[in-house]
Amino acid sequence: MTDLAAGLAIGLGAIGPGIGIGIAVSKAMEAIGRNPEAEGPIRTDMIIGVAFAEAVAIYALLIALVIEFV
Amino acid sequence: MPEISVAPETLFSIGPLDVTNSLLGTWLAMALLIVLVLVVRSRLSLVPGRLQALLEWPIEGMLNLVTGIDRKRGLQYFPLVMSMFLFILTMNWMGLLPGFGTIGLLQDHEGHQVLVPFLRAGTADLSTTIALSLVSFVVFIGFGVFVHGPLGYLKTFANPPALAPLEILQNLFRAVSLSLRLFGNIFAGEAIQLVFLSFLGPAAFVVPAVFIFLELLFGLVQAGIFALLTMTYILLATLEHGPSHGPSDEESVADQPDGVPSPAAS
Repeated sequence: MTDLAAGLAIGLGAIGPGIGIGIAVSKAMEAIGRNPEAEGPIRTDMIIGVAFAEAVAIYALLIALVIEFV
Repeated sequence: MPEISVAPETLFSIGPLDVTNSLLGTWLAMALLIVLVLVVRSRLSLVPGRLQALLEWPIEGMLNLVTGIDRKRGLQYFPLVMSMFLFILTMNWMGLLPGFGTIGLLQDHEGHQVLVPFLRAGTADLSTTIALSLVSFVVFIGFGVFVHGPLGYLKTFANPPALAPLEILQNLFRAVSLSLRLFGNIFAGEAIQLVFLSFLGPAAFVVPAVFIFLELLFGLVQAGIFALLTMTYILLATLEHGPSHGPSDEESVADQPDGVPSPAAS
């Protein structure tokens, strides 16, 4: 039962960040396609944004770890 | 199969100090960086050799990024941001070397044998990442106080006053999310490696290779993100209009266009 809880925690928790990162990267790619000179700053901003979205998945992972091991 | 444990294992103790395997990994990373830099410094030349060029390349890139925003202030925090980047990158990549997490002693633990590795990547330990993020936290608060003065910095939180608790909470959470992000990424990478290494047959050789490549990438990206976010937080703390107008701030993106009146404007 705890295994199931841990699996669900990370599995469900990864859905949101996955969609979010997908949207962020697709928009960044579009922006680079329209304005290739701005690639550097767009990529930096995209990585920062992706890091914020990814933090949510990391929290889910930590909860899964806590359920599993603690 | 090696056991996946969140906490690092204590190898031996020097007085009150418990030396864990992740601490050893951290020391190794420090030693490597110090030796590398001393070697490069001892034969510094105008025309860089291979080793010098290898070190100058990331430093130049980061220097251009930092001084491109604000040259005078950028040079003040550049050494910190750059050392954080190099230190975290070294620790992340060291954890992928053969021997990290795989060579150790078998110990009895609750009835079954558990491998206690001698070495572990420093960033795969929550203590290391919390220490690093606390450094970042203290520095960006310090920069804010240094630039605005103690009272002036407090005033930047009350902008508008009703949102002050949110601003303070957000600042505290920056330290938490910085440390958890780095730890989560590196630790999850190590756990995935261990899981794939326990596969049987040819899959044990092919699958981890793919993930080691991914881990190299993540190690670089996470080191970069840590340094970049520290830089962003310092920038936000030193902004003249208060910290709620930054371009890359999590919560301010939505309300940026309306232009909340700032103390400087009124």
